[in-house]
Amino acid sequence: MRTYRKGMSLLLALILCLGLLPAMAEEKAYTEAPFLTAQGVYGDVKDRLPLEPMVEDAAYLTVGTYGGELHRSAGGGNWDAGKPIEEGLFRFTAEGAVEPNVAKGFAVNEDATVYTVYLREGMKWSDGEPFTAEDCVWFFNVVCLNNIDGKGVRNCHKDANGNPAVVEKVDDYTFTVTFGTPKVDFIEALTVDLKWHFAPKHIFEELAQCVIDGKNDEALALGKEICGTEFSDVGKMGKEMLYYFWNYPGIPTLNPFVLSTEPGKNSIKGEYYEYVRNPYYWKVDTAGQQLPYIDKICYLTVANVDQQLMLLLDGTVDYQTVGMESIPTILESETAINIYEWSGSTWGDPGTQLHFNLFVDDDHLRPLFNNPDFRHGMSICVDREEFAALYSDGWLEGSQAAPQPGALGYSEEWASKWTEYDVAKARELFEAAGLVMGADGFYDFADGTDFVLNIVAVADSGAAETYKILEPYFRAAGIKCTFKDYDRSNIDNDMMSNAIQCTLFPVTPIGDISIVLKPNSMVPGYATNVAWYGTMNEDTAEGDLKKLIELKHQLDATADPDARTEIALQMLKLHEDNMWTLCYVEASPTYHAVNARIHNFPETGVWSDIYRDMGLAHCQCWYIAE
Amino acid sequence: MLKYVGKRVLLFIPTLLIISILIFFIIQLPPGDYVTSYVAAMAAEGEIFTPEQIEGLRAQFGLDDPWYVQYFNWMKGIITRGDFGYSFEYGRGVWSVIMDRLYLTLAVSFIILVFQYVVSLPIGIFCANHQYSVGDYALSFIGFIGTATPNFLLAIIIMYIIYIRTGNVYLGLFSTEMLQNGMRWEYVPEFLGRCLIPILVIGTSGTCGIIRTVRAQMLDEQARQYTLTARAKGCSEAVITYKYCLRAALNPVVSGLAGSLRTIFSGSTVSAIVMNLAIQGPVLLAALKSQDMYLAGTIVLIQAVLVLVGTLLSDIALAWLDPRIRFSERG
Repeated sequence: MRTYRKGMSLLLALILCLGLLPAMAEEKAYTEAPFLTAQGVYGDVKDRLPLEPMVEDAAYLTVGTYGGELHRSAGGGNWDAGKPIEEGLFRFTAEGAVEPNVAKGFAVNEDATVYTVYLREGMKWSDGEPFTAEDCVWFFNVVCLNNIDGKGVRNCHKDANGNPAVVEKVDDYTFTVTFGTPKVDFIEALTVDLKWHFAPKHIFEELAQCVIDGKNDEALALGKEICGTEFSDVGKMGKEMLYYFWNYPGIPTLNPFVLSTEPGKNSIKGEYYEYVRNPYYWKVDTAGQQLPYIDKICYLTVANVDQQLMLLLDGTVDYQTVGMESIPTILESETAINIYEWSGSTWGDPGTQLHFNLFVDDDHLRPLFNNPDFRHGMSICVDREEFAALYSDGWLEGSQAAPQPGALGYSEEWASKWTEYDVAKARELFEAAGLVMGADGFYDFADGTDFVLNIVAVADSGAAETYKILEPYFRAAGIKCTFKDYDRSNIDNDMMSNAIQCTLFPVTPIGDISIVLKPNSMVPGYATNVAWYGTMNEDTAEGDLKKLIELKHQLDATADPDARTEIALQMLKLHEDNMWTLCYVEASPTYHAVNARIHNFPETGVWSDIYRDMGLAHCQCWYIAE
Repeated sequence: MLKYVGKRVLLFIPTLLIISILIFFIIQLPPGDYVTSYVAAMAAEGEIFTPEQIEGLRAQFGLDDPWYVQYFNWMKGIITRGDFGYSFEYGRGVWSVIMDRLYLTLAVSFIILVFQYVVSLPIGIFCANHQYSVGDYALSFIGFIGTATPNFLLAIIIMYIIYIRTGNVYLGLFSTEMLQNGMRWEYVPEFLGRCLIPILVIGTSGTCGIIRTVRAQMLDEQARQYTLTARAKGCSEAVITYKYCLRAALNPVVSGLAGSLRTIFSGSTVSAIVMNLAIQGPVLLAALKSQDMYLAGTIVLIQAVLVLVGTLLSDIALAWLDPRIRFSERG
């Protein structure tokens, strides 16, 4: 009996110890940057972190050391500073999967109509106020539904009938999103369309109410009080403060770095500005060190990419994406700079993409551009091997507009479709498309009207140089061309008035990592400046183009993942069959030039807007070691 | 004289009104507006707008009104409230954007202007006094190089040489440390070094014109009867040069000051972009490119005012310098 009691006691003690293990784990000691300790105003780091901080534990990461400044150059763009530090509820991994980020996790019911999102208990905004489900629910119900941020209800929050979801708070760390019809891709769509799904209610509640009540002057005064900026109207203010929030000082965020509030350093339109570490950042490394490692990101505003390169070369700037033509210069410089090559997501090199406006307002050109024989001829009349060598100095190879290796729909056949160089066949195809050879050695329309392919491009995009190489091929095949490059704003305006016939190096190139997640450049009607479909939409599209749009609608209404993939493949097959856009050279990788003192930069990755461009590099994990 | 000045000032009003209409009309001429350039810029960063959102933006910015309505509202704001409108690009009042860079622009431009005159006048006088000498040819040659070489090219060459020599690119007037910590005494040598590049680049471009003008005028004056008389009476060469000839030779130089006022306000544009100088010129160019019309319009309008004021000041200075002008005005 005594032995039994002793045994039971030992067992109970063991169970108790085992039970305490998680608690002991929770008691794990966290450390903070000396930069914060030195300020002595933030208290214990444990109290600033959530109970379960997110651990950045990717295999390529090493445990870093605190301190230092990351220097960057910038053109004052909105996203340039925003994307690298953006934190959404969920985020993409380098493999294309969605993983929890600000959210701790989620659950979904069987028919994919109710999503329950779980947040991290104890998480705080960068001003130290608690971040709760209230911030998420308020953001949707007040900001989105009243369109205060100028973006309104995003597609990710609409069901198959276009009705907005119902977002409700369950408790401080849980909220639900309910749809009228199944919404199987909500999490992915949210990560692409909206990303953050929250705003600091404690800062904006009064302001938003003033906007809703029509008290515009009061709202503007509150806006000025919050970020020191005088806005012209509430519409502009709402979008700037609630959508481009990282651009304004004084607005709390969950990002690793927040814009300084110090005069002279707090305006992205200024000569210099800096983002300083968020003392309440909620991520740690595997050693329990609160991230980020680097104290601040300093931006020096410059006028152009040449200046960015110069600053990179002399070591003033630590990080910059560069063109392949700059790499030899970088490698020769005395500053130690590492080059990392990431793959891109467009269908071929954007600089060699040729987009025919399939909805062009010209009775001769529209049927011609819509004729696959014409596009086929335009594709094979170019010697890609020679063109690629001239265009990229041997860096890239000839290719076609097709998904990149590894992307859904990729096939070697598609990437090499219509790529064989055959001028005689091209001429046959032009004739099959209804063109007749004129006395001047150039093709005309069957009724004798001159056919001239008027190509336009954005000034200074590099298209002028590309055209110089392309034009002799077209001329040799009997296609008379003109080329004009002019200001981007005017190109866009012409595109919106359907006044453009053909575009080289379009502002929005075709292709992205997924036609499902971001169909804008691949399905007519989803964006305003895609050259190949111009102003075409579902009402004006015909044939396979109409079918493509219908498949997109079908995709939106389909819940089954396999069926969705099948539909996406059908959409891509339509592209492969029709080749609505052409491209002559494979996509150039994205080259990251990173000063050798910066560590933890991932060697591989994918540059895509969906992944927030360099967002996959997770700059909160970078550290400096000379 | 007062009546003359008063008359000229009154003439400013209709002149400025006509100029302002022309400015606004010309800025509106290119197709598209700020919203189209904004949408295109955002599209390049991956943000897409629906046609409805674009129309909403246009209505929000008041760009859906005809241009003359927009002009009338703009002028009304300027006259009644001193409000020069709103900069779409910067998201705040136009005047505050202009004020951001005004002092630095004025300082840089003024230093360059002083440099131009301090360098050019003595050289012009020297060249006139030593016509066809080695010094005359050498200095004129240097002056011509300054004018013949495009500013931006000169800037690139100087920056390249400095980079090769020092391993540093001196872009802008302020280093990162200066921008971070504000100006301190220990930064002054570097700041002056950084100032030297724009002064040399922009300053030398204007020197040749002044040198040639002063030289030609001085030679003209030296051949006149009153100079011969002065010399015959035994006046020293210094008195003849500085008291008599130079005073007359300065007339066209002083008239040229009218244009300098405008330049002082905006600074050099292309060179400022190449050297990344935070002065007014690049702001104007960016505003014109993005069709930020109130900002561009205000800068050009202020330049027009400065040209008018500069012309008036030149006329007054000329009248003061040249008694013949005073007398003809009285007559």
